Amino acid sequence: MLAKTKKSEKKRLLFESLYRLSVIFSGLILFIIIIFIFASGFPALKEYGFFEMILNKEWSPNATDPQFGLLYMVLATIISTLLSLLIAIPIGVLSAAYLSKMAPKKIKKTIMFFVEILAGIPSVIYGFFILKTLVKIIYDNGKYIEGVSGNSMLAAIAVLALMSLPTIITVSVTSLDAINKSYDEASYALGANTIQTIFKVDLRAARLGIMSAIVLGAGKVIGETMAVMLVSGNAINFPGNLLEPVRTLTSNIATEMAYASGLHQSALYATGIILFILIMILNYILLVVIKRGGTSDA
Amino acid sequence: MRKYKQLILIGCFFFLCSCSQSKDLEISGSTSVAPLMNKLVEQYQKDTNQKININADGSSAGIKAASENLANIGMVSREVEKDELALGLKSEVIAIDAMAVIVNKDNQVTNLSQQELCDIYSGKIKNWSEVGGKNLGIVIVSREYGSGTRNAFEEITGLLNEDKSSNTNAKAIIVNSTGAVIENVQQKEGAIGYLSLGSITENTKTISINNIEPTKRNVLRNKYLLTRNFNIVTKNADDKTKAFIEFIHSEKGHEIIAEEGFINVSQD
Repeated sequence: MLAKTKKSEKKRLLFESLYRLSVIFSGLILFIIIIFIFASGFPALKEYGFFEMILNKEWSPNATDPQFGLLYMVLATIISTLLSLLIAIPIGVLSAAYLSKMAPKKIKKTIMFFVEILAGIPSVIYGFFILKTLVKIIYDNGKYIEGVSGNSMLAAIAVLALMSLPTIITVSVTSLDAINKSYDEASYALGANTIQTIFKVDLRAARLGIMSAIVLGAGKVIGETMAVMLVSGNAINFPGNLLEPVRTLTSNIATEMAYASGLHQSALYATGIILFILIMILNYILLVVIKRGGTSDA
Repeated sequence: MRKYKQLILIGCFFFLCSCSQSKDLEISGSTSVAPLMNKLVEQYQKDTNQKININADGSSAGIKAASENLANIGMVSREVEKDELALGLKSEVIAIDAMAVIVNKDNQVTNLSQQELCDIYSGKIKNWSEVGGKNLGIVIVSREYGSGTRNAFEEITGLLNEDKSSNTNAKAIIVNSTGAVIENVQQKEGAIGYLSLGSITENTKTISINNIEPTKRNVLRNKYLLTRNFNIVTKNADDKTKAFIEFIHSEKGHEIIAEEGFINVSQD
C-alpha cells in the first residue's frame, strides 16, 4: 500500500516538473527572441536614433550616409490594419450572429466547416488569390492612369480583411453560443424580435468574446507578411492613395533580408523592434477598451 | 575513466576539425558572384575533394580579406580600383554579368536609350507614348535594396546619386526575385523590369539599349551598355588556389558559367 502511494507520488512529481519545464520552455523562447531581436537591432537604433527612425520618411540603406526612416511603413501598417479591420469586423460579427442565433443547425454546421477550413489555409494562398483577381482587375481597369500598377494598398487591405474573417467569425460564434439561453428567452418573452434580441442582448452579453475575436484578428493582420508582400507592391510610398503601392513593416523585413548586411541588416531587425512595439501598443489599447466595456454595465 | 575517454575523443575531434580547416580554400566577397562561385565550387569539390568555404559579404570585404590573406580568393562584382591593386592584388575577370531590360510582349517599344531608361526609372517619363509606344502608363518594376542586380543597374544607368542614394521612383513596385520581375512584366501590359541576361525567358520581350541588342556577341564586343565584370582577386596565390582558378577557366568551368546565365571570357 505504502509502496503504491510512493510510486504515485513519484509519478505526480515527475509530471509536475514536466509541466513546469514546458512553461519555462515557452517563456524562455519568447525571452530569447526578444533578446535576439533587440541585440541585433540595437546597432542601427543607436547609430540612427529611435525617434529619427519612426519620424523620418527616407529609407536609403545603401547610401554612403544611410537613412533608415520608417515613417511611411509605420503609417502603411497602421492604416492598412485599421481599414482591413473596418471591413472584417462588421462582416465577421454579423455572420457570427446569423450563424449562432438565426441559421438552421444544418446550415450552421456546413458553413462553420468551410469557415474553419478557410482559417487553416496558408496566408500565401490568400495572397496569390488576390494577386490573380483583385490586383489584375485594378490594373486592367486603371492601366491608362499613370501610377496604377494593380499592386496597391487596396489589394493589401483586401487580403488582410479576407484573412482575418475566419478568425473573427469562429471566435465570435463560440462566444455567442456560450450565452445562457435564458437571456434569449427573456428577451423574446418581453416581445423583442430576433434582430432586437441579437443587437440588444446577445452581442452585449458576448462582448468580451467578440473583443477577443477582434484582438486575435488584429494580431493576424498586423503581423501578416507573405500575402501582403505579394500584393502590396512594396514601394516605400506615402500611404495616401488606395490604388498606389505601399510597404508595411513586415514586408520591409522580408523583402530586404536576403542580401542585407551590416547596418542595413541591423536596421531590418530594428524594423522588427518597432513592429513589436506597435503590436504591444495595439494590444494594450484593445485590452483597455475591453476592460472599460466589461465594467461599465456589468 | 570513462569521462576522460570522452574528453579525449572530443579533443581529437576538434583537433581533426582544425587540421582540415587549415587546408581549406577560403573564398570571400561579392554577394552577386557568390551564387556562381557556389556552383563552381560544388563541381570542383566533387572532382578533387578539395574543401572550399565561401563567405558572401560584399566586394569590398572580399578585397580586404584577400589583401590581408584572410581569404585565398576575393570575389568582386565591380571594377577593382587602382589603390586596391596597389595592395599587391592580382585581378582577373572570370565571367561577365549582363543585364537585360524586359517589357510586356504587347509593348511596341523595341529600343530605349540610356537616358530614356534612366528617366523612366526615376519617374520623369511616365507614359509609353513618350518613348514611341502606346498611350499607356509605365509600371516600373525594380529590385530591393541590397540586390546586386539593382546596384549594378542603377550604377550603369545613372540612377545612383553621388552619395549612392537611389533615384528610382518611390512608387516603383519592388520585388525580391528574378521570377517576380518576370511575373509582373508578363502580367502587366505597361510594365518594365530588368534582370540578368541569362535569366530571360520567352514570356517577355527583351529590348535593345542604345540600339544595341543584348546578345552574347555584343556583350563580348563591349558594345552593350548594361554589363559588369565578375572579378576575382588573389594575393601570392598558392598551388591550391591556382588549381581552382585553372578549373574556373577550364571547359568544365565555362560550361557551369554559361549554365548559370553568365558570359564566359576566354583567356588569352
